Amino acid sequence: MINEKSTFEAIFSAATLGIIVVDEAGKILQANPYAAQLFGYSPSELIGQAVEILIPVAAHSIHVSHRKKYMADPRPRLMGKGRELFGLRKDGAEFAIEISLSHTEIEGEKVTISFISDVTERTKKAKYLLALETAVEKAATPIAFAELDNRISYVNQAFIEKWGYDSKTELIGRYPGEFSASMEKVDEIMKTLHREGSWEGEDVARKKDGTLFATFVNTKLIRDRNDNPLRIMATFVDISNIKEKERALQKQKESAQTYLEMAGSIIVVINKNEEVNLINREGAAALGYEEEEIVGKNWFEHFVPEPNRDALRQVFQGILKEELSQLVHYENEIVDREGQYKLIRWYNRVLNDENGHPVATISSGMDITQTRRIEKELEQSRAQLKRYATELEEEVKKQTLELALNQTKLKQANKLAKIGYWEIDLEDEPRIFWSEEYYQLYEVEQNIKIEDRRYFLQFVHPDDRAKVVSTTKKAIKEGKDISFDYRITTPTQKKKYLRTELHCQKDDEGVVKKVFSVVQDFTEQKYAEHQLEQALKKERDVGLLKSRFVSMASHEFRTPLTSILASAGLIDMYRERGMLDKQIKHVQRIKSSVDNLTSILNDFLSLEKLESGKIQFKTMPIDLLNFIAEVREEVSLMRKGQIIEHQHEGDNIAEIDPHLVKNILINLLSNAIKYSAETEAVQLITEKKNGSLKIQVIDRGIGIPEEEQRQLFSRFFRASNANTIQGTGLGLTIVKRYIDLMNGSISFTSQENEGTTFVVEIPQADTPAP
Amino acid sequence: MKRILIIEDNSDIRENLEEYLMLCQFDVTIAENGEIGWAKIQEESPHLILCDIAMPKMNGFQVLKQVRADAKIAKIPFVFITSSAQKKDLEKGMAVGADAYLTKPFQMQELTTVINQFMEEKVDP
Repeated sequence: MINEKSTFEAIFSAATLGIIVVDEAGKILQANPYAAQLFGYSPSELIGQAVEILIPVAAHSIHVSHRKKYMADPRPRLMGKGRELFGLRKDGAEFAIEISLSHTEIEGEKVTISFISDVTERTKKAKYLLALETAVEKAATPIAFAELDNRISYVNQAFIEKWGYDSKTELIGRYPGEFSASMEKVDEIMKTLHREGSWEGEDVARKKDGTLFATFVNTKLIRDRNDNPLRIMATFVDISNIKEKERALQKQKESAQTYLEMAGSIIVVINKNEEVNLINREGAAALGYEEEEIVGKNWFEHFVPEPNRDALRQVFQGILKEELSQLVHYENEIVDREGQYKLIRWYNRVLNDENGHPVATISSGMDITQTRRIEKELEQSRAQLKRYATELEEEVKKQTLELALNQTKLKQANKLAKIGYWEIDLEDEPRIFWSEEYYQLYEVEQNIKIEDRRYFLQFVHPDDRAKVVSTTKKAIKEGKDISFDYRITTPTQKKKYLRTELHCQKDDEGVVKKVFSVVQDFTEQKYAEHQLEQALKKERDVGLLKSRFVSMASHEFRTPLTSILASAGLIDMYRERGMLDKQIKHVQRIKSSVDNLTSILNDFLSLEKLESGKIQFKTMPIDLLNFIAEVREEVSLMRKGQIIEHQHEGDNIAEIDPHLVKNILINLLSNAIKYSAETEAVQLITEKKNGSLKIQVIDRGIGIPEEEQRQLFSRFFRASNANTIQGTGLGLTIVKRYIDLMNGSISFTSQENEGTTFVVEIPQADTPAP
Repeated sequence: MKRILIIEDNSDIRENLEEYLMLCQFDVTIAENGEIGWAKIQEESPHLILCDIAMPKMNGFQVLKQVRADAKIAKIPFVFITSSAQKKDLEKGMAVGADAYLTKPFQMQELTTVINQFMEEKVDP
């Protein structure tokens, strides 16, 4: 059996808890080795010392009174409950301790037994936890905890504020899904979280007032040491700003794309490797490919024609290597799918990476092939003029050189070149001087005394006077050199074009002192220019006529031909059936269609003859009544049923070319028939008196639209309301030419849907009535 | 007998075509302008329509449009006979839904070929 006393002694010495026995006076009776070590003493050093030796000086007095109070009412308890207690080591260091007190009597003496443990580590940990808790609570980031049943057990202040609640109690015990836009989504998240231990991603949070905001959520399953799940923690970052920015960026991107596609020009981005990174629709269209076919291709290999390829490539690489400065403008040819070359005017920009090194070029281009071609043509059409001007210049130069020897000869040169000059001296009193040649330009005597500065203005064309005055004034006022043209009429009624070059001479302060003007006669150039323009206009007119002729011929020739082909087919059929009378009928019909074609051709021929002056007229006395009867006979074949009424006044005999007048009448009458209903009569009124033969043809037909009346006599012209009625558009042209030939006149009045009246007058040498 | 309507303002062509088609054993009706033509189409609903383009009152395009708009007669084969060789006119004709066109002048065999093509397809109910 082990001795009880020695057992207790062993416990006392081996205990890992400090044990100190103190008497009523506060003197240490016993201290075990652990206690002594705790305070940095040996046990023997402590025995007999006042217990206050182990207590920080600041707490001595309060300790003494506490000790006395304890002695008065001794029972086991923890000392200094609710407060931190500190011990004082021998080396003066203080450390956190926990003391529990117990009371007993040993050998009749009241003693207090203190059990002391070092709680430095524990205190530290507690403090750390408290700091941690505070940090979580005060964190700017919303943080929430939930238990394993997903119910929220903690939220920090930031969470409450962010979600718009007033206190924690509103949130504790609820499910996370209630604070999100989608409960289903949160359910899924929670499932994932329990399965995988963590989840992070975006969600849309719902505030107390129902508003939503985008948030980035990071959740974790917190586990204990043994890896068993304890609870769930989640942190939240409000990303609504970022989302907003993302949306704006996307929008910007989209609109940039739209601009790119809408741009009327070609846009292409070429990277360092000469590959096309991007090309817009316009660009793809210019090249004749789909955008996808172009992107990724080597620009120079595929789309730049051979001759310039290497040169352009060097320029491009030079820019990218920063050896050459950016080429802002450039023109070069590209080649499209069909192998066609197109001239493009480019505007280039270099694209840099974040370090400012060029990585690609962006170019916007315009197809100027067409522009160039037009410019060239324009150039050519001006070439003749230029040549003329150059020749003249050459001539002048030659003469000038030859005659430059003396003043007289120089003056002759000026005269030859038709150059004069004048000057105004603006200093003091403005004075004007006109050179001799200037007078000659205006063909005005030089020796007349002129005081009026504006003397020559009277010869300037009225429409140009204001321009001459204001331009001259402006040049003087602004001190600028200027050139302008104007027209004059000389006292001898010659019309001339003058070109003046004004030059202002200024002093050191920029004030205009003198104005010179060199004036040149360029009437001849102007005339040449005019000739050229006339020639061009004629060519255009011929072109227009050609197209009118084609459309007229297309219709007018095809119609009789169709009839002929049909009759020919019918003749074949009737021959098989042996029906002779029908065959004869169609032969007749073919003949009449051929007549129709012949008359169209005759129209052309007579116009041709008229225009080449091959038709001459021969007059002879004609009995009008007989003559008109003949004409009516011929015309009656064309009638649809109209009656032609004829009235005559005055002499019966007229001096006319019967062939021409018959043609005129047939034309006018057949028009009247063609363009009026079969129920309407056509009136023909002839009148021979007062030295003229007047013929009127009146119908009640469709009339001529007012806006088209002006063109009625032009070749191939057909009024818009006559489109469906056959005709060559030559009849009235021929009529007009015939009448012109006879020095007569033709006029008409017409109203749409009312009718038309033609009036022809043919001059007559007055013959007395028989 | 199959009925054919000819709408054509030129009397020579109109009469010749009428005569020819009658010899080919068709029942032929004629109209001298679009307006009369349209009235005859509604009255007789022919098996085929031959129609000129440029005509007074109502042109060929207008006639075709009205035909195609009326469900009862919309299916009638419609052939333009036109003196216009302008490609644009012909394209317009096909665009408004003509079944075929003949450009003047044409041989009678061409006409028969075009007509037969539609007659074979169409069976008298």
